[in-house]
Amino acid sequence: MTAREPMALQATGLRKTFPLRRDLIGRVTERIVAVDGVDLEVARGATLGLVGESGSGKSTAARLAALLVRADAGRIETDGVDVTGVRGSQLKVLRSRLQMVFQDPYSALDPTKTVGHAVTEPLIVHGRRQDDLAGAAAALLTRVSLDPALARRRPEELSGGQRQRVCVARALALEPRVLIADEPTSALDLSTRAGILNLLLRLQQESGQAMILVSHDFATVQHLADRIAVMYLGRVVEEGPADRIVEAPLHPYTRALLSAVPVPDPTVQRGRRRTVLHGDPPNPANPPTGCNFRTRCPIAVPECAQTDPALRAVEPGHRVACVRVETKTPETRS
Amino acid sequence: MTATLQFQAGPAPAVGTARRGRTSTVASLMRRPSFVVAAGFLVFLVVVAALAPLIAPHDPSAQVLEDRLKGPSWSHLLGTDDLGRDVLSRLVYAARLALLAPLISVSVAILLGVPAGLWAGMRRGWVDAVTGRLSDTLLSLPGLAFALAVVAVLGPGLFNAMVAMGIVFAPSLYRVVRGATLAVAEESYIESARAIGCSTRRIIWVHVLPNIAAPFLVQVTILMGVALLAEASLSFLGLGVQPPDSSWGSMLEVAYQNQYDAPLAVLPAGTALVLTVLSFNTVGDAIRDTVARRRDS
Amino acid sequence: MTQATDPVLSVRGLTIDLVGPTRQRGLVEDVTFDVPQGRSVALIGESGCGKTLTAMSILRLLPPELRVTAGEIRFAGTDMVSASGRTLRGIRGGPVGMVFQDPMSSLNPTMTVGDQIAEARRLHLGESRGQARAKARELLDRVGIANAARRVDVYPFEMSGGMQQRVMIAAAIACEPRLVIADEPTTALDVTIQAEILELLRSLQEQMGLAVLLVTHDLGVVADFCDDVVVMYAGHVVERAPVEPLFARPRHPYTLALLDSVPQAGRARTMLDVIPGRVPPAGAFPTGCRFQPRCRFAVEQVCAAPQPEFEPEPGHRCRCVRVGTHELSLEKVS
Repeated sequence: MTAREPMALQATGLRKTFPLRRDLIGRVTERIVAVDGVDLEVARGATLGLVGESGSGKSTAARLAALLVRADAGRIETDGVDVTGVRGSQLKVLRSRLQMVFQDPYSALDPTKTVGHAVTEPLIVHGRRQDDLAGAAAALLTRVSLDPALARRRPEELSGGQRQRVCVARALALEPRVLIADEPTSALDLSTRAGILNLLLRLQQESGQAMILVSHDFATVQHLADRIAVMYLGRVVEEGPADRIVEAPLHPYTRALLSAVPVPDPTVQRGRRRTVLHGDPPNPANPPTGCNFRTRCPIAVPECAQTDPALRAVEPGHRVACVRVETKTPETRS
Repeated sequence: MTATLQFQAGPAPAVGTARRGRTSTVASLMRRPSFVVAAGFLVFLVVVAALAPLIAPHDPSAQVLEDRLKGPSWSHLLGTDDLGRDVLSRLVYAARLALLAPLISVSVAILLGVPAGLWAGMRRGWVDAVTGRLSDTLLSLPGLAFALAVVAVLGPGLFNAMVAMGIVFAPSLYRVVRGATLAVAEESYIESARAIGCSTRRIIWVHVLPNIAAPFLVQVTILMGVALLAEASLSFLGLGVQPPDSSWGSMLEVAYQNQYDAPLAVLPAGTALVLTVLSFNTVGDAIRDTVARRRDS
Repeated sequence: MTQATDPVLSVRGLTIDLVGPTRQRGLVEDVTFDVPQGRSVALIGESGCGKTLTAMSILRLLPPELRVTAGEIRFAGTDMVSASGRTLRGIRGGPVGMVFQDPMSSLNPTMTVGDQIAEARRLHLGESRGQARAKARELLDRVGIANAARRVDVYPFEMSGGMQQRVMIAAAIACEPRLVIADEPTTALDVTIQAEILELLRSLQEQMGLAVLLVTHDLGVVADFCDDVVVMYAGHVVERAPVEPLFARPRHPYTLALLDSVPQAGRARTMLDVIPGRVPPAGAFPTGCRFQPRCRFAVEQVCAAPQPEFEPEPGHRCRCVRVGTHELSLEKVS
């Protein structure tokens, strides 16, 4: 492997469990493994798309990467510096490097504060540009294509799309190394989504902003990401260059996911061969033995119940966690 | 299966139209006649209490025994009590206590209930469990009886009685603050605040408190009314304010003692009490309704 | 087919106003469309377009302050606007089934799944409890729920979202309806589950000759499932056409703009076309064409006048004077 500059963000072996049940004294008896040994990495100026459905752990993984939730295990580095387990005032400093945009713009802004306050609060908290907060607010709002005069308004006076732009502006205030966006367009109308996607695209192209984009919507992720990681029940099942994953998905779950996303073009859509999954999604508190996906997998074999497949490189930069793909039997080709 | 359609009267206004000002809640409140009247009355009460020496026509303690229990006259607009003292003057001076007493007990309740409620709502865990049980215990005690017990131990007096009532009120305020904090803590903007590096202290001051202000204020106004009635009750029983001071409650007691001689003597203090408690409650209702309406629109 | 070619549902000039202390006229105005026998029609639009109002008004499920003030709704010849309560109750759940968006709140949590499905049969077909339960078991099986015999006695909260939605569908088809109205049936579901549900609806449609009115905002779902499309914007129907011509040659500027604003494969990492402005709020609809303020082809005098429906191609209608008079011809971008 050639030496390369440090990743904007590199996380390995992330693991997070949540308590599900406690006994009478309060000791935990049952846990849910939300994230189970996940690696994430984003190069400077690149965008990683994190795709998965509900229960995949993608939102938790994003929050772990953003240092909003403390991981049970794993290592996180940003720009080559190990930041695992950082606390207190050091953590506060790190916050300026990793910023997050949340899913619901309608509840992500304090209703009692003006837009100007929302976007400049990060600066206030970190003691930056205190002498010209109004100017800073105007600059940030302009950067997300909003009229600077909106700084005096309250969130309730803004539309969903505008609110989401304010959230992006707030996340940009500290000039983070990595911007992590958790379903940034899910709560918005169709015609508003394009505006936010364009904004993120512009940030990517003009400012070289590194991003992690979490979404259940493949179309959104595909539109922006250089690399895609697909998650299922707490694990990454496939990751690689975005174009490769979309053109030639290898993991049966990725193929099912892609085939399930309807393409807004009837001629194309109706001509597609569909892989429809059967069976219910497993209970995350009680995942299947061996491969998590085997209960719904169209190509599962008895071996799948015994081994826990690890991510293995199938081609340079493209990893898949599936025993059947490794052996490259004919059924796995599209 | 039945279908219900949640219909909201119009979506959010387009930017540039229907612009809301910075003090929009206050503005909406001012448009409610009930609020204006009630708040106006309370303001009037504060003015009267402050300017009592200037307004009262007579010295409230001046006893003129020949003029006992006289009805309203030009020199005594509301008549005199059993010791010939001018009722109107006593009423005016007692307004001070009518505001001070509830203020003492509500302040005690705030000191005890709000920090605990905030902490329980934000941190949850064992703190929540402990304070919850404590508050449940206090809530199970009958308020007035508890106050009587405290007064019996500490001795009669307005201050002791009101502190006791404050302790009794604390659990209800704790509950309201805890509930409101729990709801706010779930909101995305709290997580966002944490994400930009806000300390928990800043989050509470800047983001939580303003957002729980409404339910908190509503509860405070209710407690003010209850506290006033409690004070009146205790003073009526002779356990609250002590002579020579008088409150509306003790005036009621005097009037009650002489009800056969002057049946209408209960009216001044009684009316004052009713109007004040009603005003507190009306202000609380108005705040609650205004905030609820805004949330729905 | 020797069936009559009359549409199973016919809506003509439907207008819904909000009456009461705040009066808002024309929340839905002059809406006209048909649902032919055995075909699926999509009612597509963004929030505020009136598609849910329209769908609810068919079965007269609107709250009292929303009133149908003009127009006609005919289901299999019955006039729904002037029908008596008794007639309506005979139609709801029987000849017309309805599937709602959020199964969690649309299913009664205190009744077993089987009883809820059986309820319709007992009400409409007068079956006994035993007969209806047997049929419920059969229906659960038909909608793809494994272990139907056991699941009949299960409560909704014991099921996953996808399964709950299957239960709703089972209840909707319990009495062999001629029409099923589905209001965003898959919006709350994961995309792989969505694919399964759409697959189920499709097979049921084929088996039973069902007509389906599908309310949605998802263009992919429309492309996948529907035969005909009705596009709504701010209470107006702006375009109606069979699905392929609509996507291939949209005739209304709004439809064109909508299609251009959605990310699609092959356009990754390009700027999407954003529709400027916002959907007008209910009290502030422009006169004439309601899309006018945001339309890049708008010409004031022409567009401020009431726009009748034109038919530029047989079966393809649009409500735009400029297109109808051939003054304007849209070329789809991409």
